[in-house]
Amino acid sequence: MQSPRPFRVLVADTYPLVREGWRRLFHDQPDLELVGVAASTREVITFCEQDCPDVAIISGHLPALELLSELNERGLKCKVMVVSLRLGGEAVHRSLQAGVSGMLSLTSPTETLLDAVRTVAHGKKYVPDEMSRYLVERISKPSLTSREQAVLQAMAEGQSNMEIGKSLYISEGTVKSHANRIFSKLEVNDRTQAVLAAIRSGWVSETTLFR
Amino acid sequence: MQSQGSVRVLIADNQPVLREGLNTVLMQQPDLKPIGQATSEAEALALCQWLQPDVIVVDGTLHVARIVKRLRKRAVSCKVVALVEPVANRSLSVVVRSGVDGVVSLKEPPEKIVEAIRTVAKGSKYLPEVGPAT
Repeated sequence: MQSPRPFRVLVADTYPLVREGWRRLFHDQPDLELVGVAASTREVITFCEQDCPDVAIISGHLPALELLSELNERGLKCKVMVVSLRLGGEAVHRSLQAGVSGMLSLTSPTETLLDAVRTVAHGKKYVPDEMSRYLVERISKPSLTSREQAVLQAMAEGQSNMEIGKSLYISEGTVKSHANRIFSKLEVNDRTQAVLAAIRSGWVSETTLFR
Repeated sequence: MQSQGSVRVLIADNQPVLREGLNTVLMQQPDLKPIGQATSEAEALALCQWLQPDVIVVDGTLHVARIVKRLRKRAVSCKVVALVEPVANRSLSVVVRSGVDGVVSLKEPPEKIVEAIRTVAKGSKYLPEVGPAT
């Protein structure tokens, strides 16, 4: 009997050692074929335009959501999986909403990584178990508006209400009322707690904080 | 006793894909020999004592400075090469000042990592320039 065609997988990561590790990992998987290895999102798009894989595994260092929307614009139908060192619940939520098929931590055992790729290749979504609990709680809570998110991000960067007001073209009083709504939605009492909660759950990205 | 000139290397990192990648690169080098993989700080310390590697390569997701300190406290003499993320300048200088023998950015090609391992194994340093301590 002829075995079914293996799923075709593309991997993108900026780090050569990680790319090498993926090559090794797919080497002895008969049902998964590594058809391409990319170092940037540009390379992913070029590759997909020529020969679209079933699944693209994208490193968390790369702008995966931008990549996803570019692929969609070009009508390229490969499923996107994001593999990251740190997975914030909110980032997972946002990515799934944007159409990412799977999210996974790079610290997971190799069997888990491969299982996740298979799940996604079969057209299902994959998130780690601990994330599914977060997501269930998350959808029963009110979400932050994009304005509230911008205020929270600015708070996390250490800006005062006045500075936030200036950069978002709103009054200091409006900033304060946004801040109070953020506190109540995140169930915290002050800025510090709000910023901590925001970092932990991935509302604000750490990379912008330490730039 | 190992064959003459072969450098025994221990890999320490909590990411299986990165460990696999590094292991593959090391196996392609005739003069380097990967002897084990540690997946946490505690494992790294234990394996260093048991296996007595010449060089341990520690990924920056583990606490490099603490590992170096504990190795030196236990009088383990292996050389330490740290793999670091290319962006974080502040944490880079912390790593460089922690007493490691070599530091390589993860963005560098594998040849650089191999070069760093060879350099520290010979007793030299392989460190980037960092600004003065603040």
